Amino acid sequence: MKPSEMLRTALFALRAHKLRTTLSVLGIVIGVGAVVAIVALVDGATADVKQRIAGLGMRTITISVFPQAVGSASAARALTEELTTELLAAPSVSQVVPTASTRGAAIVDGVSYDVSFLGATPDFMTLFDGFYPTAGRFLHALDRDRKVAVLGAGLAETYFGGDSAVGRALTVEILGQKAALQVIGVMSARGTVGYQNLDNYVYIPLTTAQTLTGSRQFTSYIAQAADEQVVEQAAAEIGAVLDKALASTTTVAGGLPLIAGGGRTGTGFAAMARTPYTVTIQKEAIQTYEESVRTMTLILGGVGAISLLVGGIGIMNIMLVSVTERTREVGIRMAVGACPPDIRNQFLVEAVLISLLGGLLGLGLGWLCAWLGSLFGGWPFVVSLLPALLACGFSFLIGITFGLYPALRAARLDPVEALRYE
Amino acid sequence: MIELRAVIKDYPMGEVVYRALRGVDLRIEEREYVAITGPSGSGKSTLMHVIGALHRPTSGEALFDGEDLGRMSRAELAWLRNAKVGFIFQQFFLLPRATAFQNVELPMLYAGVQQASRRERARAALERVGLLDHAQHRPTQLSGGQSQRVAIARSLVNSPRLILGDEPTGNLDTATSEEIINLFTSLHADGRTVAIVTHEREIAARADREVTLRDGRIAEDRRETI
Repeated sequence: MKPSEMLRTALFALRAHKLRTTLSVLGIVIGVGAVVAIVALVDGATADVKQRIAGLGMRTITISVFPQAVGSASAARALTEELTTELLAAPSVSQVVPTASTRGAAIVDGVSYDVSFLGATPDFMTLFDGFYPTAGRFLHALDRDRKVAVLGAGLAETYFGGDSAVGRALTVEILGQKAALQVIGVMSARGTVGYQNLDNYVYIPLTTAQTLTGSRQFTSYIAQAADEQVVEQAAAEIGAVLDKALASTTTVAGGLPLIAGGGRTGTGFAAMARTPYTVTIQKEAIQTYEESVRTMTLILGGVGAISLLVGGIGIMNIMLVSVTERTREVGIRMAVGACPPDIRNQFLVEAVLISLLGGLLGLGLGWLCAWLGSLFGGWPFVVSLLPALLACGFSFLIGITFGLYPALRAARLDPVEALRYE
Repeated sequence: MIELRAVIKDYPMGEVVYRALRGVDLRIEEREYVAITGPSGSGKSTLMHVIGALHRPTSGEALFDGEDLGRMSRAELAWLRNAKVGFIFQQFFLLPRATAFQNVELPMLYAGVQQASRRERARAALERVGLLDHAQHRPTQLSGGQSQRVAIARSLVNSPRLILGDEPTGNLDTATSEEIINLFTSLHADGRTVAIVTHEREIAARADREVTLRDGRIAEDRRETI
């Protein structure tokens, strides 16, 4: 039988059982759709996160030291200054900015807003391109211990509307302690860099932050390597400095000595338990992210693959029913001259058509879901050809695999017995 | 055209084996018109299935144009049925969802005939049985006699030399049966070999030769003397 005739015969049979065909197709649509949507969503989210991480600059090294609880605020302050100086002395490091962030509330005209405070040094501003004061000024070395605040662009708008924020009083509450601050500047809108949105911080002098939070705080350092080639070397130097400094000076508040770990690349909770600091370079941040994404893709893809398998079994089931139901038809076709391969191909083409149709519709559905997801998630909608080809190829394979057994069963029927079948 | 030598055909029936043909010797020459008669269960249909290449014999030789059916593959048997045999059954065996035209077209699909040629031949065959105006009807819209005529048209489209009827009038009333048998007679008059299984005397009488089976063996083989 010619391929075009086989196709026509198969379409004829599929149209004769519309509901059954639709349901079988649906099984594949869901499977392929899930896989395609997952891949496209993850691709889009990955592109977005990579862009953000890279936006921080590939020279940037993030250092977290925890907990920097050394008994008193003045001890914490001394350690921060000591570490900053020592880190700056490392040959491959060009810039070190200590920061201390904490959550609290800002009270304006009797209204309380939850907000993040970032204790920073004047150099913080230099870490980011396009980050500058649009009114007043940023923190200055002379602001040390002063009760002043610089507002991110978003906050100035929220707290004071169109009015000038500079010079206004801001009551803040950090860890239950209230303090009156004076707004000295408003920053340009810079948006999200790395994992943080620069527009949503209240910037206060690091020393002020340390005083307000007492000794219960984490300190992060944002360092920059001299250039992109020495980032890893800089990270190694930073690790060495931290090992030495923390081993000699640190004890926790409860009197337990902190173990100065050697791991500079420690990330995640396991690392936190082992070492009192983590040093993260951008390349590693991207790698870490990609690793976790890969794991997630595998898990979600696995779920999608299982639903594809279920869809395939659905096809097999429906084809077996179909073969049984059409036993007499098979007998008639054989009696007028259909050879076993003709019968096998007839059922195989039906199974492949079901799964291919499911694959194509699933591809459309998957892309639609990914597109909607990208709208809500605010990341780019990435259409790659590979999942499309994989979806089609895979659904073709499913049709062949799960259609073959029923088709062979039909082809093996004895013509006379098939004709007698009631 | 057909030569059977000591043909035995067994059917497995669950645990036991049922022997439908118990050693049949039979020659059917080109252009013969043969009626095969006998009581129910005598092996008439089985004999027909062996002659029509639907079955391979369990043992013995079944030669079709000198070639042994027992040595053919299933695909070769299918080809032979398609090209050389037109089979007409008691239950018509039309595809229920296909139109009369599509049913008649079916054997040509397996023969690989071009579409234009298929159309022409299917129409000619339907015209031959007087059903050209019913080409787009489905079997459910046709009477028994019309269905059987569609089946006859289907058996003719590949111009087979052998036409086999397995009780072709078994489901029809007397008047319709008469029409159908007239068609068989005219097919024989065209120069085809015709064999019909029947247990109706009048139909058997129309043939030139009557082979009677009993318990899987040929009990009588009578030729019309002209």
